[in-house]
Amino acid sequence: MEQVEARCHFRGNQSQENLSMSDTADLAEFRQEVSDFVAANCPADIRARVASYHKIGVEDQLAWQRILAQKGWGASTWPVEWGGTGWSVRQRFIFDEVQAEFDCPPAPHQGLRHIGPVLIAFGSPEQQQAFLPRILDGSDFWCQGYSEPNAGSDLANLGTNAVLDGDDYVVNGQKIWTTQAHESQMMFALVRTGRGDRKQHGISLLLIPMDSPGLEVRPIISIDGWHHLNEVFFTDVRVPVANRVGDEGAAWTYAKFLLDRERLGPVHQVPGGAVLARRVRELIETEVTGPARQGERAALLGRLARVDSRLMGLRRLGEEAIEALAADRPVGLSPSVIKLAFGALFQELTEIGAEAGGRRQALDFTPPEQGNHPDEAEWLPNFLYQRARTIFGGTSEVQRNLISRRLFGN
Amino acid sequence: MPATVPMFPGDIYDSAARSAADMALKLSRDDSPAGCAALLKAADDMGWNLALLPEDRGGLGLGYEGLTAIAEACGAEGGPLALAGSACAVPELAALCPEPIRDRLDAALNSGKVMTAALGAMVEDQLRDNGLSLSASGDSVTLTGTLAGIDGAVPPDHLLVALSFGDKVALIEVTKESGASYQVRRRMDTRHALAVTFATPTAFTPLAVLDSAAITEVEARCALVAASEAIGAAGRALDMTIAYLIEREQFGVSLSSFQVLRHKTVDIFVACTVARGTVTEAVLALDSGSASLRDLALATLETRAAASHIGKEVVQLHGGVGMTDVLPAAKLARRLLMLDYEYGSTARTLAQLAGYPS
Ligand SMILES: Cc1cc2nc3c(=O)[nH]c(=O)nc-3n(C[C@H](O)[C@H](O)[C@H](O)COP(=O)(O)OP(=O)(O)OC[C@H]3O[C@@H](n4cnc5c(N)ncnc54)[C@H](O)[C@@H]3O)c2cc1C
Repeated sequence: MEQVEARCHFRGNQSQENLSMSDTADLAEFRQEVSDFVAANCPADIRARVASYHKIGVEDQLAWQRILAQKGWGASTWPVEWGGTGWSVRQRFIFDEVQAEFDCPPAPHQGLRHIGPVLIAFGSPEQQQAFLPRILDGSDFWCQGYSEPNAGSDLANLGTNAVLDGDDYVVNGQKIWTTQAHESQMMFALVRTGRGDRKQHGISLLLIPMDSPGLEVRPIISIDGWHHLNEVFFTDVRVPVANRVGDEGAAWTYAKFLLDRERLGPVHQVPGGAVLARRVRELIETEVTGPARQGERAALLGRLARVDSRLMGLRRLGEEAIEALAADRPVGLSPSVIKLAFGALFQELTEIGAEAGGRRQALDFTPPEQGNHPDEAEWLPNFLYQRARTIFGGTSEVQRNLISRRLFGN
Repeated sequence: MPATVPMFPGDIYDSAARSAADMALKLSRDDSPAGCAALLKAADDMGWNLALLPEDRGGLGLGYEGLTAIAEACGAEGGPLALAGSACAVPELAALCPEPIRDRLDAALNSGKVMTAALGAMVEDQLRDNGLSLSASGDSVTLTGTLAGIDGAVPPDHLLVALSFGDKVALIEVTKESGASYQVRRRMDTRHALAVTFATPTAFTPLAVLDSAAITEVEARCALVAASEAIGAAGRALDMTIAYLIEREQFGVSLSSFQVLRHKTVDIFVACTVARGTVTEAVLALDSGSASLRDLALATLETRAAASHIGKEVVQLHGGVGMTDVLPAAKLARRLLMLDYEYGSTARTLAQLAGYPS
């Protein structure tokens, strides 16, 4: 579901840093204000689903987005002129922390943090007017059409074709692993409009309504038993040229633009990890009880201690990155380290959770899509789903390739 | 350029790094007791042993941030000196004593006396040689036998020893007049360590009788200093490993072209960076007065695991030469593998964590 979670935090307008908020007392007040609002306004049923790892539907995400937008907090990372909040880096971090604390649903990030910032930087005024307000107010849900059967880690190998025909592109080809395509109004897709010296050339970014004739979505059920993923087929799908973002063949530059701005992305995941760790501890303490299971409990708590200790390190790395960014200093490799380490850590946490609380589900696994365990936390499906953490948004192996290039200088 | 950044970059780290490099060089030429004594003197001249001691007790008041910056810089040079015993355990134990005794110990530290401490000795059987035994009667404690594994390279003027009795700990002071003899031993990372022997039953009046929790806390703080050294050692070992993999060719190409080796190196880097984060976090919490025993335990737990992983991988990535005792990286690897034998262990930390509120 969170395919490019890590890529999504737009740095926003640094010159808008609100200096008065560097004061700790002010920040505490800010935290309180956010907490009060979230506690009073985030719907209890959605929070309960988040807390028990049940599937969070697009409707849940959009419902919360609408509430935040009404409050003026819909796009904490956008420039103020487009409805951003003008918050400092630290305030944005506090905002995320509080949301994790209160089990708020994830933001509709493909729109808010992925295509939104690209449109703000590279979109035409018409595109900005047409799409940005609808992302902000929770009218549209966007999906990301990047991966293809032959373009995964090697994304630039993509082959979905767009051929110019009058005022339209005619698109043919296939996307895969498209999270929530079946529930989205819009897709931003990388398509091939030409061939250059390098395969990164000749790729364009198109904005495609999901109800376009010739566009077909087929479900892929993932190992957790849920339907998040899809294949998307394009047969002579006509997309107006006006829906191409920026120049033809230059989309790789926009992708890199986003990557540059993702630097702090992984940092924002740390608070969620801390909340999950606390919940796993509570689970062990309530589920793995009695003298006969004392050894088992100690073993699980020992593994949890290792996770807690790594979380402590990641919290510090995150803090350093935030300080660096706020002072306009380079953030170094810390965010990459956080992404890599956090993926593994989150998986370990959900695995401990599954061992402590998922035995019955493992031994009696009806796909949750069929309404399996409405009253219990989905520890097991969550463990299975979290295998994706080290796959989506650039696999851990690909991350290691990137970091090693920095370490070895090539 | 080093792959990792120091925990606390700045003047203290920079000057300690220069001094530690100089010390390591001197030690490589002369690691006799006289050579070690000269290093201790140099460290004392720079005030390293006074780094933690607060200003109102005549120290430099650099806090754990200052002390661990020095420890990290020393660690990168293989840890020529044992800092945790002299610069951490001594002032922390002194602070637990009644004021006149504390002032006397502070003054000794200030006047350049060689001081160190032995903690946890009575819980660890392996540190007791020659049937070390102790007995308590009335106000005094009597010791016979040998106590090993003490931080230091030359017989100290003052040795503070924590001895457990049930849930209480007696803190005693061994001085030159106590009639003890010292042996200088070598740890697996080649650093010196001391053993002290009481050939005949020797009676001491404790400086203080403390709750064992207080000593656990001092031990955890010392473990953090040792962990900081390991962070320095890990960063330097990583740099050496990268350089080696680039330079060494097999199959007609640089070893750094093999993805599996590159990924293993990244994993070392990640382990080192995360461990560095835990120690930094714990140090900042300590200095701001908000560190719980759990914070300290978590920081050392992660660093012990990282140090062990990195130490073993550094040997592996160097191949045969990693097994030799001439290679500087292999020496750092042994320094890293040593961490789990200093001021507690992974198993003990896990056991402690099970009892701490989260
Ligand atoms: C839950 C989930 C949601 C997703 N959502 C979306 C989405 O919304 N939109 C979208 O466009 N995509 C999405 N993806 C796709 C995701 O980005 C790709 O799965 C990912 O980039 C990997 O590509 P691949 O699956 O083709 O694996 P491959 O690239 O075929 O990789 C297979 C294995 O080989 C390894 N490997 C590949 N290349 C190298 C290399 N050079 N060196 C070392 N190892 C290598 C990989 O790490 C992996 O272990 C999603 C994926 C998942 C699992």
